Amino acid sequence: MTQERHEPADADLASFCHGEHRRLVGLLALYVGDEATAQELAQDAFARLCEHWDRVCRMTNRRAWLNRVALNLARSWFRRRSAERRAQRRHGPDVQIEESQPADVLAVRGAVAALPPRQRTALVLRYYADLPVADVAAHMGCAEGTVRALTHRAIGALRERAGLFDYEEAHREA
Amino acid sequence: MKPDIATLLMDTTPDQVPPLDLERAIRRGRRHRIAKRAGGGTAGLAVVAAVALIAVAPARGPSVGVTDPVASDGTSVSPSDRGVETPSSDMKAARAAWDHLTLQEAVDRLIALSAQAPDIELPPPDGQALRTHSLYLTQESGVDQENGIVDEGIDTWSLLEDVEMSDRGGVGWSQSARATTTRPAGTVDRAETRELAVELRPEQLGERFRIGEGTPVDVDWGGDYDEQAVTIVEQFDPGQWQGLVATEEPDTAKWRNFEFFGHTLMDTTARIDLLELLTRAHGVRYEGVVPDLAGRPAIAFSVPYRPSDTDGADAVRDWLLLSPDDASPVGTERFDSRGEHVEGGSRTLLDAELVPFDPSSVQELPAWKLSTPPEEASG
Repeated sequence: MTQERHEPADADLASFCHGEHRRLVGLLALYVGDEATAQELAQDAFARLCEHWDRVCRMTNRRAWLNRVALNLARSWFRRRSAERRAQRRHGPDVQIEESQPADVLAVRGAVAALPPRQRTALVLRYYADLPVADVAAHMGCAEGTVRALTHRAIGALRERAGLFDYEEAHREA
Repeated sequence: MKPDIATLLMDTTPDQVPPLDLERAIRRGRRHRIAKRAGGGTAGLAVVAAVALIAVAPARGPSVGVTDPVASDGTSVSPSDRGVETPSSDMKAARAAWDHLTLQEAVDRLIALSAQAPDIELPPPDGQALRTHSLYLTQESGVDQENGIVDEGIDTWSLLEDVEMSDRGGVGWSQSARATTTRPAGTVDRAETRELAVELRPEQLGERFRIGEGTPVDVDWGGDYDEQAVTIVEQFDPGQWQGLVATEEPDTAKWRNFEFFGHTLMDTTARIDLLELLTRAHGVRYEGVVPDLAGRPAIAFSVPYRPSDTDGADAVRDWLLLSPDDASPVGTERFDSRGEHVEGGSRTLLDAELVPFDPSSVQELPAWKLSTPPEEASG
């Protein structure tokens, strides 16, 4: 039987996980629009991290790996949710989950979560994860110009949707 | 003054989050690692139950092929003649051969070859007929002027969502999930096809090739899969459609039978066994190990040329040979039930003799990276 490796928790692993947890929950909350789900997805992502820590610990950018896995999980969550919502529509009203978050936070999350997936991904990675355009492009497997176009459209949509931010500055940035 | 976009987004970061349960994450990661080492060993009763649903249901559309495969020299290589009693009896070896392929690699190729799906008619409860294509490739639209391959991918779940809402000629494209990529013929760019992961070659693109029922999504990155799903739609009874989604998830792989238009199905958890799934649902059949032109072992699967042929006397099956090293196609052939080669295969095998398949020899092939046989994988 192969001896398990992470018992007790690797100090480096623990440090990385705890250091990234809050940020990752925030990123996922933006992406899925729901903090409780974000916490679950973050837990899933960290489970993946633990599973692959032997490999990830040697990476120069562990955070990028974690971001990617987390967003993959989030996309899967959206798929599952679509089926669940259809079922709910047939069998009863949607369950409304009350969130104890400020209204503006909920508004921003809702607006971001309503964006098309690729726009959302580009926006969150560019402006929340603060990745350079090149890194976002590498993450998404597309050209840098595509990332700029996606973020531009995302920002435009957010402006129309919420008008919550300094559009001119964001427009110049994008 | 309004904040800039970055500040606006960063301000949504929760002030406090429940502490991360790192030990739980470690345990889950460990379980997942063990499960992957075990390969198909954790295949549970739930899978059997799920697959049995397919087996016992009235066959509709693509069905399970039951005809004997034949060799190019005309000799029968039916399972019994090859020393394999039934397809199920060599399932263990098949599963072992399968395990060393990454799930995604195996899925996208087999799905690509397994589909000659008719347009799927989805009759919702209100009687409004809808038609959907989950992933659609035809010769006319699938090959561009440079003979590259254009594929259009749809996240099947999103598609199903959209089918109900679509008014675009009855075709339920999901614009947000739609992706179109072009790449040179015969190549696959893992980075580019991260969400589609379908490889087809020009010779495979004909009128008969249309991917309509299975769409691998969310494939891996970095050489290790994170999540894949394949959706297969089968009609069990007139007016009732069921979707099977096999999803590899952190702790377990799930068979998720979900609801189609009011028909609520089972939802169970088990280990994926895509081989069984594809064998039963799409007529994809594991044939054994055959040598390629260079004499190297290749994993052979076959698929009916046309779903309707599976019940006919002149059934034609395409054989697909995959490299045991990387699951890349190393050859295709097409045979009819009399053992006659049928034009249409790439004939990369030419006259290579098909050797009888001996399951016990599988593990003696040094080039194979076989995973732990199911019985030994107790976790």
